[in-house]
Amino acid sequence: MTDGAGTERAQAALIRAFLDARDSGDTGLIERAALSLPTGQRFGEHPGLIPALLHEAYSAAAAPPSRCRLAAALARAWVYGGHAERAVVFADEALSLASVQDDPRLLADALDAALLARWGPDGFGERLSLAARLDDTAAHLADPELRLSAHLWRLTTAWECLDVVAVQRQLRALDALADETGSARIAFFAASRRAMHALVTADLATADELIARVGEIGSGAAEPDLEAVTHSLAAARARRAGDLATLRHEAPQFAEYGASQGMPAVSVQGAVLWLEAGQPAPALDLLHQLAGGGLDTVARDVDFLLTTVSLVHVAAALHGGDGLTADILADGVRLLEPYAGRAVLDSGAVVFHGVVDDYLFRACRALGQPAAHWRDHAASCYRRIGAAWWLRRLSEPGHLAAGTPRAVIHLRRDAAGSGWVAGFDGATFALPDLKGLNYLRHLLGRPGADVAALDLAAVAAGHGGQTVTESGGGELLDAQALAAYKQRLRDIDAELDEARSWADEGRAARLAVERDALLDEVRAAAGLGGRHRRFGSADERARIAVRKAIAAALARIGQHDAALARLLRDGVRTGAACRFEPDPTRPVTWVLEAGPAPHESA
Amino acid sequence: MTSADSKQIAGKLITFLETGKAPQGLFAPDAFVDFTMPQWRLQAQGADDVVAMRLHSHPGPGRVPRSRYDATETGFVLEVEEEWEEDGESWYCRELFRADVGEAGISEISVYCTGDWDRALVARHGREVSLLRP
Repeated sequence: MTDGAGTERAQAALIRAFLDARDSGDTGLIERAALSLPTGQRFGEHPGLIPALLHEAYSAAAAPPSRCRLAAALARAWVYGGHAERAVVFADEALSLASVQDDPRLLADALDAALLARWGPDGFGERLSLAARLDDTAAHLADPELRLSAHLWRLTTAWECLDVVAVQRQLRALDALADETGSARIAFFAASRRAMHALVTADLATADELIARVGEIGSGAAEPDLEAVTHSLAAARARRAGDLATLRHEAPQFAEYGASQGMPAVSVQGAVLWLEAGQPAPALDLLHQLAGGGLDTVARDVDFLLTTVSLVHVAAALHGGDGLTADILADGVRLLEPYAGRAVLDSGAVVFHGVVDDYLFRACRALGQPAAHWRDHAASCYRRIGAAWWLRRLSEPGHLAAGTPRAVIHLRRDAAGSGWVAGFDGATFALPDLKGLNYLRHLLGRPGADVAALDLAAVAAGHGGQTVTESGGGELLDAQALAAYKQRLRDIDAELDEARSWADEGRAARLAVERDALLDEVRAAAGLGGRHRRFGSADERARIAVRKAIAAALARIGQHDAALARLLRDGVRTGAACRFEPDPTRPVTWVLEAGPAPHESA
Repeated sequence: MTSADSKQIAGKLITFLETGKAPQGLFAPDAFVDFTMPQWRLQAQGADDVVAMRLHSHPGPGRVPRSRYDATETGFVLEVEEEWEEDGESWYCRELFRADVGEAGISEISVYCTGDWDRALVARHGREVSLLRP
């Protein structure tokens, strides 16, 4: 993140234009110049002279519409400058003036300012209502900026309360507005919010396309918040992908930019990114700097939820029973509980940071308090919005002790593609191309997932896409009998539904016993996914071949590094279905590709 | 009918609530509505009659500030808040919709409504009840 010399030059030009207008004494010119002043402001940075000059124009304006516009602009300038508390009085005056002017443009402008001034953890119901009023007002206006503002506010409030239908509607509305107007600025907002949605739903391919588009359009549109948006999206993308190189690149930038601008919500993202990059020491340092005074010092502004949950996230991961992290966690539970069920967004509503319940779960779990209900609430929220990555993280272990960082282990092809690199980061060794290494890498990339030996056999070099043909015959259970069993199971399910709908417990219990007995029979005769188990079939040959190949690869690894071989033996299971089950007490970031996209487990 | 299709139909239902105009494909031609309100119950069959029933009680456009969507095996459950203006008064209500969705749109829908709250009732509720969540 840079200081944006170009933005500063533009800002200086706007101030000069205002001073020239003031010298001219032309009130219309002064108003127009004053209203242009905030256009170059970047969210969260000190506003400098802008509010003072706007206030000068506001004080001099006599006509109610002019006062209304200037009051709204002044409110926006204070919020953007990090002083929302100074904005409320001007936003309220703008709304009061607009309400009696019978001018929907003024009203929409004032509603936008009122929403901005109230953007914090509290008063959510009021913001919902204001956003709906703004949407209603802007719906009858052709002004693209007012329509954009209405859609963005509806989108933000929809995300906050996980209103997935409204999120989809507003994303479509933003796309349509960008198409209708051909505006690069609106296309920038539409693409960045689509990218956020793709990251929430873990659609990384779409997110990558959109993030690239955001960068291209944003440069052309000279959008002041472009850097903040692109860094935020890049960091979010890196978290989803476990991209350690990007996480390590972004973490210090967030920390330094936040410190230089006095923006704790940005600095604390640096701590989160260090943690995700497997570097708890700098994360702990930042935690001390940002939360040494307790969480009650966190400003209750637009960034309150983000700052608080981020501090709790880091504290929960690094909690070792010490006073600082215990205090942060206890404060976090107390401060966050009133906001359960809410989503956490950054101040631009560009990145989704999970739901409050997720962090309550992490804090309570780290403190040894009952936590399962928070996890269940969070899981329910994530399922509703399709947030697969967030849902998956709920089942991961939460504790990462400071000083025992996540190990980074390589198991990847070498640069030439003819051999392999394996071993702990900094102590790697070369291995020849072995089928078992291909199988291991495939399993490590899918922690906790069953992979059929037959499918696994197809991933080794020389076997790409090739599967062993089924020989057929020799089924354990006659196909006709199996079909009959399955038909009876379907009948039982229907009868069970009927019995339960009439609360006929006796009949339901009898049917359940019969159902269990039939299922045992079918399971005994079926392999993966209900396929028949065959003797001497391709499945069996694949199972044996994969087991032998993995055993040979582990033996070869053990010749170089016994600890790594043991770690892999402990986690890898072979059979008709093979699986890698990570050990939560030995967290590892697996580097499975030569590029910068390693895979984390545990 | 996929979950995405159901979500799209739920979006169309909200458009209908906000505009009074039923988007194409919202209701199946033989759609059935079972509408329960405080101390009363109405039903209608056929897309036109379903739309007419709604417009009879809510003739003008309105706003749906928020909704909660949950997919079900047969369609969806949608919980909404509504706000609208009529005859110089502001109104508010909460509603729950349980919809069965088929290829042609909503085939059956049950509606449970709190009844319409005017400005005075909303204000009285605000004074007398502190909600735990907005």
